[in-house]
Amino acid sequence: MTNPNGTSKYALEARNLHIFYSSFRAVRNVTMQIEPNKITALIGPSGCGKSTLLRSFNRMNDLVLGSHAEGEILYRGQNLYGNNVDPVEVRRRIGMVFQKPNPFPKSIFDNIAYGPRILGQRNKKILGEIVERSLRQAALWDDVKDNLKKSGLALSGGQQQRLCIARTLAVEPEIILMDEPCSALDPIATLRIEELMRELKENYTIIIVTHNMQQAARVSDYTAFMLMGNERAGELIEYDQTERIFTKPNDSRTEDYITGRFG
Amino acid sequence: MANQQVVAADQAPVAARPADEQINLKKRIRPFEVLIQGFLFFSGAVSIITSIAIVVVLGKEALLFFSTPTWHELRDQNNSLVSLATDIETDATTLKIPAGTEVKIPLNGKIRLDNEMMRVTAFEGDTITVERGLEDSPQVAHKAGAIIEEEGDKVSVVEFLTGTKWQPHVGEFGVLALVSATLTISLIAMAVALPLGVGAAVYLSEYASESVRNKLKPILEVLAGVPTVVYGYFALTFVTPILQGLLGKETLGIYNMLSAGLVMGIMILPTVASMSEDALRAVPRALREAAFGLGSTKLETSTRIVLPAGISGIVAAFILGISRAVGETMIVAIAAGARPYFTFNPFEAAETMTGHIVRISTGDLSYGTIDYDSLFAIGLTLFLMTLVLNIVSRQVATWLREEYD
Amino acid sequence: MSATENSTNTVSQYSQYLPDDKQLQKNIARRNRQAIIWKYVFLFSIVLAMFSLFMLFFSIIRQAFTYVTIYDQVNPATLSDKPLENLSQQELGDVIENHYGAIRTGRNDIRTLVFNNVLGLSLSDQEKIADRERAKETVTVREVFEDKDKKYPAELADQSVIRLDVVGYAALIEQNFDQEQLYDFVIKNVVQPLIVNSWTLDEYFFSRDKVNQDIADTEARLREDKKDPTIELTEPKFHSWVQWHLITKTIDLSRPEDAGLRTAIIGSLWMITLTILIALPLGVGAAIYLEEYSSGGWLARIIQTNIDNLAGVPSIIYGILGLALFVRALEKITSGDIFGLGVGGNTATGRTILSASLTMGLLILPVIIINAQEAIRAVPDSLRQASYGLGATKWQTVWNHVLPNAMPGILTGTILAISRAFGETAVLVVVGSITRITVDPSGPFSRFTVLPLQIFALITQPQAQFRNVAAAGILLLLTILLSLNAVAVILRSRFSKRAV
Repeated sequence: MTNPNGTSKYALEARNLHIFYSSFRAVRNVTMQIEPNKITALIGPSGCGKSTLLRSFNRMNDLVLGSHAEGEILYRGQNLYGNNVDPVEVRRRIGMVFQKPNPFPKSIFDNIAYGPRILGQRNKKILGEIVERSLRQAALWDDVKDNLKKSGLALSGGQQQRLCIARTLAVEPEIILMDEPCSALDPIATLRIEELMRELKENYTIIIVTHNMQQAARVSDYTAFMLMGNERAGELIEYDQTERIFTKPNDSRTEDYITGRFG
Repeated sequence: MANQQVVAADQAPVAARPADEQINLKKRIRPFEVLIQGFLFFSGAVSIITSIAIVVVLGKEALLFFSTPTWHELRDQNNSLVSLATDIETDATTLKIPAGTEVKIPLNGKIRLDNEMMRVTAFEGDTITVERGLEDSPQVAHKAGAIIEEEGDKVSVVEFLTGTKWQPHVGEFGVLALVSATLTISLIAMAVALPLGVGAAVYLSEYASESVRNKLKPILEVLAGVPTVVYGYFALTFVTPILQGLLGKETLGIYNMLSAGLVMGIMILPTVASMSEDALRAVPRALREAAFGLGSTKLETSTRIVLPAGISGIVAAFILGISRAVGETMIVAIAAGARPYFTFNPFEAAETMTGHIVRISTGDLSYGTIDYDSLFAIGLTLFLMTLVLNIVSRQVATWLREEYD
Repeated sequence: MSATENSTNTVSQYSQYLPDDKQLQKNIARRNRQAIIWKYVFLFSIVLAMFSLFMLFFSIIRQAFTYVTIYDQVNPATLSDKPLENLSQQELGDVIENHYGAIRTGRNDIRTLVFNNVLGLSLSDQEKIADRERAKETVTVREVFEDKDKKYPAELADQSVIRLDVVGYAALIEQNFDQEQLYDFVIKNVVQPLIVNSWTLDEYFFSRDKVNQDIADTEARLREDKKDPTIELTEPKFHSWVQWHLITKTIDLSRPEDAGLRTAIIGSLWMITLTILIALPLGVGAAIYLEEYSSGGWLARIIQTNIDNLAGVPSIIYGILGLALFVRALEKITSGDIFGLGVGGNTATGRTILSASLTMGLLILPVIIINAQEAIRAVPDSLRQASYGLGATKWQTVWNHVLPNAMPGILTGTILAISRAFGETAVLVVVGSITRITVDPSGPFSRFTVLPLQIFALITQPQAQFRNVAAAGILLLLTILLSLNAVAVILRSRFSKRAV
C-alpha cells in the first residue's frame, strides 16, 4: 500500500476515522482510500455524516467549536490529524468548494487572486496569468474576460460557483472537495459544473458530497454510501466503484437507498 | 501527465505534482500571527483588567478611608472654634489658648495646627504642653489665631452605612444622607419613566405601523443621545421655574430633588421604552393571535396577554432604569443642590452620592485628605449598588429568553 | 330571519354561563371604547416624550437668543458728534487718543491684541521675545515692528515691546488698524457695552409688562450703583448668543458677551482623537478575540460577562478610577514627565488630556466592543469558510474578509461611542480638567477643558448671562452630536441595505 519512499498510491486514505462534535460522535470508524485523479462521491441520506467526513479531509471541521477526530487520514504518507500538522497548510493543498456559491464581495479578479496573494504572490503580471488560467480551467473565462473588475456577486449562481472553483484552482491544490456544489443551481448550470468536474479530474482528485444519486452516477468513478448508525453516528456502509454500487451493491441497505426505498 | 508543462496562461491546467514529491505539512510558526493573537488577547483582557482595577482602586482607598482617623476643629463649651492665643516658635513645646476657654483635651490625644501633628502631654488652664512634629509632619512656627484641630475616631463601616449625617468637618460620615437623596430622585425618575416608557413601548410594539415606528424610534434615540449636562440645564433653567410657578417659591427652592427627578425620568425614558419594546416584540405572534381569536380587543390582548408575557423584560428595564438613575451625575449636580441632608422630601434640596463626588472633585482636591478618601468610599457604595441592580436586571431578562426558546 | 331572532334562539341553548346577547353587545361597545381610550393613553406616552424633547430644545433656544438691555460704560455721544460707525480711520484714531484714560481693557489683553492682530506673531515667536526679555535683553518696538513692516510712533521706538502700558499699545493699534478694525476696537475697549439684563423670547412675547418693569428697575439700580443719575440704557434689542466668537475666542469670565469656547472645543477634539486611538484598536481587538479567536471557554465567558457589566458601571466610577490610576498612580507617565515633555516643576500633574483620554477610552470600550461583536457576527460564515478553504490563516481571513465586511457596523458603533464621549461630563469633572483655562491645549500632556465641562462651569456661574453663553454652547454641542448621530444612522441604513 505504501511505496518505499513513504508515500501512498492513494490520494487520501482514512483509517479508523471517528469524528466528534464535543461528545457527540458524528462519524464512526471510517476506513477508505481515495484514488488519485478520480471523482469519488459520498452519498447517503441527510444527517449521515457525509459532509462531516468531507470536511475532515481538509480539517475544515476544526472551525467548529469542540470538534475533534480519532484515527488517521493519510495524505502523502502524513496523518492530517497528526500532532504537528498545520491546518492552514493542509487546506491550501486540499481545496474546497461549498454548497452555496460564496464569492467574496470583491471583483472577479480579486476573488481569484486572493489565494495566490495570501500565499505571497504579489507580481501583478503573474497574478493576471493565474487568474486567466484558473478562469479558463473553470470554463468561465469567455464569460467574464471583459469585466474582471465586476463584483463576483454580480454573476449568476452557476457562474458564481464556477468562480469559486476557479478561486480554488488558483492556489493549485491537489485534491478538491466539493460539498453539494450544485444543490443551489439550476439544471443547466449543474450540467456545466459536472462537465467541468470531468475535465478537472485529469489533473485533480475530486471528492464530492451529493444528495443527488443521478449526479453521483453521472460523474463519479467511485461511490461511498453512508448511513446513520448507532447513536446517530454516521457509518460507511459500502464503498466501491460507482458502477458496482449502482448495479450490484453488496449491502442490502445500499440497494434500498439506491432504489429509493428510503432516504 | 507529470511532465506536462505550463507553457502559457491559455494552455490550461497546471501540472499535477509527482506522486512521490516530498511535501511538508509541519506546523509553521507564523510570528506575525502570534503577535496579532497576543494583541487581540490583550484587548480582551483589558476589560478584565479594568474591572479588577475598579475593584482594587475603590476597595483600597475606601479601606484607607475606614482606617484613617478623622480630624475636626477643637470647640469650646460655647461650640466656638479654639485658636492659638500667641505665636509659637519652631521648637516651643507649650501652646497658649485664649484665657477662660473651657475645652476638653484628652491627655495623649493628638492635635493638629496647620499640618503639624502634636501629642498632648499635659494640659492645665490655658496652657497645653505638647510633643511636636509627630509622624514626620513639618515642625514649623505657628501664628496666633491658627485653628486647633483635634483627632477624632476612625469612621466605622457601620457608622458609614447607618449614619444619617454627612458633615466631614465635624467627622460625621453617614452615607445615608447622600443615599436618601439618590433614592428619592431615582424613585421620582422611575415614576416618570416607567409608565411613560411602558406606554410608549406598548404603542410602538402593538399599535404603531412599521412606518410610524421607524419615524418615532429615532426621536427616542435623539432623546437618549442628549448629553446629561444639557438635561441638567433643562432642569435648572426651565423645569424648576415652571414648578416654582405652580407650587410657589416658598415650597420649592431653586435647587430641589423634584425637578432633577422629573428630568431624569425623561432622560431614562428611552432606555425603559426601548428595552420594554424589545421584550414585548419577543412575545410570540401566536399568543396574540390566540387572544384575538377568542374575541379580545387590542387593549385586552396587549394588557392581559402580551404585557404579562413580557413582564420580565419590563422588570429588567425597570431595574436597569433605577441603576441608570442611581449612577446619573450631571442632572443632580446641576439641579438638586449641594446640601448633604437626610431627607425624602422631593421639594427640598439634597445632594446625591454622585452630586457629592462632583462637588468635592471640582474643589481643590488634595490627595490623602479625608475628602479624597471619602470619595472612594462613596464610589464603592455606588458601584456595588449599580452592580447588583445590573446583575439582577440581566438575570430577570434571561428568564424571559428562556421562556420562549 | 333577523340576526337578533337567531341569536335569541341560540342563547338559551349555549350560553347559560355567559352574559346574554344584549349584555354582550353592550360589553363589546364598552370594551371597544376602552380599547380606543387606552390607545390614546399609550400614544400620549410617546407624544409626551416627543413634547419633552421639543421643550428641551426650546428651553435652550429661548436662552440662546434673548432680548437684552445694554449699558455703554462710556456713552458714545461723548466721544464724537457723529455716530461712531460714520467716523473715518483718522477720526477714530483721534477718539482713541482723546480717551486713552477710558480704555479699561487689561494690559495683557491689549498686548495680545497687538501681537496677534497687528503683528501676526506666532506663539513660538512670542515665546522667543519673552525668553529674550527674561534674559534681560530689551526687544524694542522698532525691531519687531520694522521686521513685520508695521508703523509705530517714534517715541516708542526704543521701548521694550512687551513692557509698554495700555496707552502705548493703543497708540500702536491706532496706527495700524483700518477703519473697520478701529471701530471694533473703540466699541469694545472704549465704549465697552455691557449686557446688564436679558430676557428669554417667551418672556418678551408673553410678559412684556414685566420686561419693561425690569428694564426700568435695572436702569434705576445701575444709576444707584454708579452714583450717576444720568446713566441711560441703550434701546433694548434682540441678541444672539450664538456668535462666531464662540469658536474663535477663549473663555472670559468677566464679560459674558465676549466669552468664547475655543479652548474647550480644541480640548474636546484632542481628547476625542486620543480616545479613539486608544479605544478603537482595543475594542475591535477584543471583539475579534471574542468572536473569532476564543473557543467559547470559561475565559471568553468571563470576559463577555465582564464587558456587559462594565457597560452598566456609572461613568463617574470610571472617573474615580481614572483619578486614582491615571492621574495619581501613573502621574509620571500621564504628565509627560517621564518623556521630559511635561510642563515641568510643581505644575506638572497627571490631570492631562492623556489621563482623560485613557479614562474615556475605558468608558467607551464596552460600547465599541459590543457593537463590533454584533457587526462581526453578522458577517456570513460562508466568507470565512471560503477563505480558510483556500489555505488562508486566521488573521488573513479576519483582515481580508471579516473586518472589511464588518466595518460599517464597527464604524457606526464607534461613532455612537464618540458621541457619548463628546457629551460626557462627570468623568472629566473627577479626572480633573479645569474650567478657567484660557490656554489652548497643545498636546496629550496639556491641561485642558472640554465643551460639556465648560458648559457645566458656565451654568454654575452666579451671573445669569453666563447661562445664555451656556445655552449657545449647548446648541454647538448638540449640533456636533446630532451630526455624528446622523452619520451613524446613514451608515447603518447603508449597511442594512447591503446585507439584504
